[in-house]
Amino acid sequence: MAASKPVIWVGTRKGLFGVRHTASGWHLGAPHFPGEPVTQFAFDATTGTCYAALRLGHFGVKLWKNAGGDEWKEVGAPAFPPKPGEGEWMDDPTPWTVDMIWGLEAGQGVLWAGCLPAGLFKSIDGGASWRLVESLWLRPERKEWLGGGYDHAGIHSVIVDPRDARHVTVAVSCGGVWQTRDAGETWTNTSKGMVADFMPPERREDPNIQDVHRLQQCSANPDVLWVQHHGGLYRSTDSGLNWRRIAAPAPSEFGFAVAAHPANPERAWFVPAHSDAQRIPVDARMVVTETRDGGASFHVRRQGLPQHDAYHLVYRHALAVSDDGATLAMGSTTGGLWVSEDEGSTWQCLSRDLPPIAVVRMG
Amino acid sequence: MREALAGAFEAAPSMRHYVLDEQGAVRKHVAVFVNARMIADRSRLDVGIEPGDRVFVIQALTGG
Repeated sequence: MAASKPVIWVGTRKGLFGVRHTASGWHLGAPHFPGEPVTQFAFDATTGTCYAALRLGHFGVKLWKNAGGDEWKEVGAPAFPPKPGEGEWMDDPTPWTVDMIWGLEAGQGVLWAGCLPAGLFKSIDGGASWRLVESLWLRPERKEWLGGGYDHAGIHSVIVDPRDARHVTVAVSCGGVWQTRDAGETWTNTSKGMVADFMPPERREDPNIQDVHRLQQCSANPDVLWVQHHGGLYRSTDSGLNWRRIAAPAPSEFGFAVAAHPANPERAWFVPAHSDAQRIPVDARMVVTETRDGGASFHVRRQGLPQHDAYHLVYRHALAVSDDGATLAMGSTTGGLWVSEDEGSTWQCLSRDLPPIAVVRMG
Repeated sequence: MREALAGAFEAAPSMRHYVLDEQGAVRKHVAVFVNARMIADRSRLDVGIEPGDRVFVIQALTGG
């Protein structure tokens, strides 16, 4: 008997949709938090708990939690401590106020929130309270980080090693990949091999300014990491100590999203856009690219995706794969939502009428 | 005015982080008025008020 299909959670500029599969197909249903911007979503599989991060226009960043059923309740939101009035950080030009929860991961009893600006926060009580990971925030290297599409640098990807919860890897746009192996006491930048083509020649290989758009991990082989970088695609087979650039596939190596196959470390999916300067599909034809051999070659998947007059962009958190690798879903910044039930080979459109989609996750 | 807001937050603690950010400043898209006059500096709440004055916390314009 086939496994039941996951719920596809779609966080948008105007609410959170739980897309469910029934005998008659996929159904969106009414949004949770109607009208409110949802920037991030996390599902804790061990407890069945959902978390939704909001960025209210007036009232700031909020976090809501659903422990099952339809009841959402507000919990604590990450917040910076008071900005120092003296010392090294008193003139920090980066505001010590959380503008957005950009990355949210639940697992092994800890909730991690990567934020914009680039604070990493940790909760060990299910979001009731949060603590800034000062060992990363107070690194002198942070002064060199650059905003990637926003005014300030931010943390959008957080990966907890399934073998060891003390090993956490985060990606900063623009600040490279950072890792801790002691639950956040100490951090090391592990961006060796990445190249930032847009920087002055002397700084292109600087690990501290790499613009990682998205970082993902193979669950079954956690040493294998995939990155969609501003300048192309990268893969690591040693937990990020070394990165190898993947030869540019057709039709493009530019994009934001990557999904790693949960079981097969050779497989990953990307959603290319034309280029940095043209963040739209090549020739207005939307495709997903998939490698099954670690990036040596790529398949271009078009079936079910719009092949003319299509100007969708799939943002960094808006491509998701189910735990069994069978179901994929993606949403665009112009409100298109697609699902694949055959490992990304063919797609069906569920909506072209949603608000801008920030995040798609399975739960 | 700071004391007046503090009194409101004491009565409804969860209101505090809706109105103020974590550094204690009025959020960018919230506006605070004393009677008809909007406070000039979001990070300075030490505005004198008199008995009978009214403090309004309103939603400024935001969205899209």
